[in-house]
Amino acid sequence: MIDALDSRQLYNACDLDGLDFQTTAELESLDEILGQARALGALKFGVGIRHEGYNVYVMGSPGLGKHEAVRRVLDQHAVEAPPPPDWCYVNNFALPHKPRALRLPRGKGGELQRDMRNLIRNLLVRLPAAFEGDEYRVRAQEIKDDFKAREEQAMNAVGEHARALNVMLMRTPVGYTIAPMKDGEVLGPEDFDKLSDTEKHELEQHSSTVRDELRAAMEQIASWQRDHEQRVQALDEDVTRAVVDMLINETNGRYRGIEEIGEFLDEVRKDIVENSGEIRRFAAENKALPDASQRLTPFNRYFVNLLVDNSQAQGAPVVHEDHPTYQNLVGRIEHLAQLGTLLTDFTLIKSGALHRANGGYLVLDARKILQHAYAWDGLKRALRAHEVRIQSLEQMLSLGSTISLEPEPIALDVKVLLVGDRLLYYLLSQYDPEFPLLFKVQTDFSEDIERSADSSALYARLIAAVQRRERLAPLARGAVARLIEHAARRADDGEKLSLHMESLLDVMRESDYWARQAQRRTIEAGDVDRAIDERIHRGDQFRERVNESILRNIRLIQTDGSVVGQVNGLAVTEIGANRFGHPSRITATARLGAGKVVDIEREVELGGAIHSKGVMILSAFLASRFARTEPLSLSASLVFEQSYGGVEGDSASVAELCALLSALTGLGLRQDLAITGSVNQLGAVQAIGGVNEKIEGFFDICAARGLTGKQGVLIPEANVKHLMLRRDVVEAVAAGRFSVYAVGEVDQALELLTGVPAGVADADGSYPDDTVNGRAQQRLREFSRLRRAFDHAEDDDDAHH
Amino acid sequence: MTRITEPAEVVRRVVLALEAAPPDPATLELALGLARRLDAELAGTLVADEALLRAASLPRMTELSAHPALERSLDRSALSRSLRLQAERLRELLARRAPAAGVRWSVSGTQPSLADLVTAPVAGELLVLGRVQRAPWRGEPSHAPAVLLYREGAQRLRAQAMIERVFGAAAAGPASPVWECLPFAGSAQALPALRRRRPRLVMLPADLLVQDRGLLARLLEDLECPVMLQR
Repeated sequence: MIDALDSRQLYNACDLDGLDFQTTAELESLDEILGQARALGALKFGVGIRHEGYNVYVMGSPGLGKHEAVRRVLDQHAVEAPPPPDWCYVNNFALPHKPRALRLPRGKGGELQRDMRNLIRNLLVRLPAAFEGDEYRVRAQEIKDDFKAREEQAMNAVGEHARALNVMLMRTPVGYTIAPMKDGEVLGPEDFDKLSDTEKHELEQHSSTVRDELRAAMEQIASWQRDHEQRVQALDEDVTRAVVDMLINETNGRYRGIEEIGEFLDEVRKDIVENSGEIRRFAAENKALPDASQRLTPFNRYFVNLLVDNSQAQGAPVVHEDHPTYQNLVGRIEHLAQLGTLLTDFTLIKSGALHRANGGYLVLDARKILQHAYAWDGLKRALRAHEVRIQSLEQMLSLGSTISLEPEPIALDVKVLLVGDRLLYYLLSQYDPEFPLLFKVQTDFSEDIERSADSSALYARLIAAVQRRERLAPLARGAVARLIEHAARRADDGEKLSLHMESLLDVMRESDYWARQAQRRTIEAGDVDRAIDERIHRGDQFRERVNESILRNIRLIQTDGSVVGQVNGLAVTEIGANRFGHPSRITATARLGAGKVVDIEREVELGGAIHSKGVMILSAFLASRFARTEPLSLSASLVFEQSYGGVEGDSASVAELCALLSALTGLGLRQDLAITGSVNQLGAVQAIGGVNEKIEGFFDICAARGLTGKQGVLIPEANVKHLMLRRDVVEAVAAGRFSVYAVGEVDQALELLTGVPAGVADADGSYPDDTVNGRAQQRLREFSRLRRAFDHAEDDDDAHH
Repeated sequence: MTRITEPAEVVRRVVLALEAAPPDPATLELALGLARRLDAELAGTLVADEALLRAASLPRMTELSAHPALERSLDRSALSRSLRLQAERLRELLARRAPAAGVRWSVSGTQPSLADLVTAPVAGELLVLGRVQRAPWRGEPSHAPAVLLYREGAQRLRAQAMIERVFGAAAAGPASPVWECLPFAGSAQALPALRRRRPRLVMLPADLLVQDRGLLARLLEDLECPVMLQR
């Protein structure tokens, strides 16, 4: 029978002699990122390589410091890269619904934006002034006088001819009329009646002649009006052009060599000349440019929308988009509600994270981007097309047919770093065919590092760095040692140190709190213990309730005596941030049957696939060991008693096998022992998870009832290296009041649990009778015989009838 | 037309006299401004052209409209109807503009002729006339000074007293004109001088119109500005 583990095997304590300092104040901070050489190498490679598709997926569980690592690497690379250009949107005068994108040297976008506002501001002053000046007035008046003189001459000629013909040209409310005249006065009806027919006829003839002349004159005047309009318009254009040319040329002079700006200013010039009337009318009414609160003004078409301002950039941009919705990524077009309608123009185009990161790096959280509708698709589209196209979701999905803006796409050169967990990476790799093509660089962060003297020393320096950064009190050597041990416990492995920075930070902060509460200036080991214990205690209510139900015999768990077909299994429950172990009764029954082991949990669909696999494996083990030459005539059933939730995992398969053999052989199993472990078809006991919590869970029940000195836990041998048990458990073991056994074979477990040797098969495959295996074999042979007898009896009955 | 019998005469009414055409906007604004500053009533009236009415009574009379050159028949009833329509529009316009300017207003019946209106002896009135151009040759509104035409020194002094009262320091504002006094030596001399100056407003004593009956029509036709009459 195997011996229990020594208490020194239950906890890999940190050697204080290896920590050559009194407090962290003496330690040099660790600036590098600990234990992530593979990930950092991949990250640097991914950031540095400049080929298509080499975006980076940074993976690892939360709290490993992925974001910090990304930030450090990017900051180092970004500062060495050239800063990107400015990007602007301006009006497309030919197609206003398709704003043009301008790529301008860094800083020029802001300058152009300011210059255009100043240009329009000056235009609103100088243009009306030019039209109010004497030069324009004189020229306009000359044109007017010219046409007026022509009109007067034409009308006077008609008037004079009319007088010569004894008729008068008179104005009416809407035009002119021609009336007969005598002695300089218009004839009234009585005087007209007194005229002879010849005189009347003559007057009518004269009236007709003058009327024709008048009609011709008025048509000529109408033609002159058109000419007048054209001449005045030409004059207006000349005056406008003179003002605009001066302003535009002055602005253009500041952007020599930038062709895009020259082209834009030419279009502005042309548009102002064509619309000078509207501008002057506005200037007459308003006298000043609308203030910034008025988003849609008549002059927006001359303004510049500075989409991305890199004037202050020191290197390549590094953008962390914390809320990666579709619009936050690719940009959006805003609208203003006015009088029941939605209006927009290019000045309401807003940049997205892709625009701001263009020429640099964009860091996104993988889970968040996948949670937002169409954000992932939008990102992939931009990366594939190497451009950012601002398109509303309605346009993209062809849901809307209203006229909207179609801004010119902007060329995209960006490196995307997606930060997420491992599961997401594997799911994307499996189910999204584009993902492997766009994210070729996998950056895999380690959960832990090998624990050694060197790594412990580096860990101590890491603690020093965190202490300084967080402005915590210095930690004493003992506190550092305790933190290192806690890191091992966090890693579930005495030979490893967890690299979860977030949980390390939490414990340090809380230790600092408790130290300050005790008015200490350094953090001691006791403060770390307190921090850990208090944290557990805060979330411990559920575990206490579970234990209470056991201690009050509501959940039946026996911790002494021996019972046939019943064993204490061990389970781990994780709720939120809390994780604890507890015993769980497993029972088995065995009877004559057809060789089936029924897993009741599976039958009622409470057992998961891995649990079912474990039961099948132990069934196969039984068959392999006892049914080589004759069929297994056994029916058995296994159940986790008083378990009403799901059961998963195969860490109880050794316990189940022992319970089953106990039921088969009639040998009782010690109830003062609990067992955990996974068994394979050959009877080897395999490692399981949560070994520390499971041992502590059974220990707590036993301790609450009073340790007998005979209680203990059986664990897989392979799990010994994972042991980092609580101090009270270690002390109890050291004092001989509790034991932990490491088993490598199921036979070792059977011997401990039954107190009977397991037995070794001879060359014929037979086991000695006074062994566990022997008794199992005998029982199965008896079942087999009974079954044959039963079958024969049935056959005889059938034959008889 | 104002009739100042004493230097401190109170102007009780500003008469806006319109011929058979829509009111000129500048004339309307001037009349409203005067009535407000003088706390006088603004009385609108239409002036019929007797000669036109006689002509409209003749058989087979037609009227040629300016834009476009369409011809239609003209008779007295149609002309009267047109005048009544003009009067109604004047009433509506004053009803809309006068209360907003804080001015009392009325619209009287059609006057028989401009000459009769100008020469009628009425005290406490200022007469304002203006004519809308038929062919509105575009040009910027005049910011030239206003012109006071006078023949005698006493007329000038009396007119200046009125100007001071209406456009003086108390009432001065950005729209108040600068005045130039121009001695009148006959239409032949005055009209070219006025055309060169392109005044924004002309003020003259009614006496000048009695002696030169065609002057008012030429002023209204040529200068494109309101005319104020004072006796």
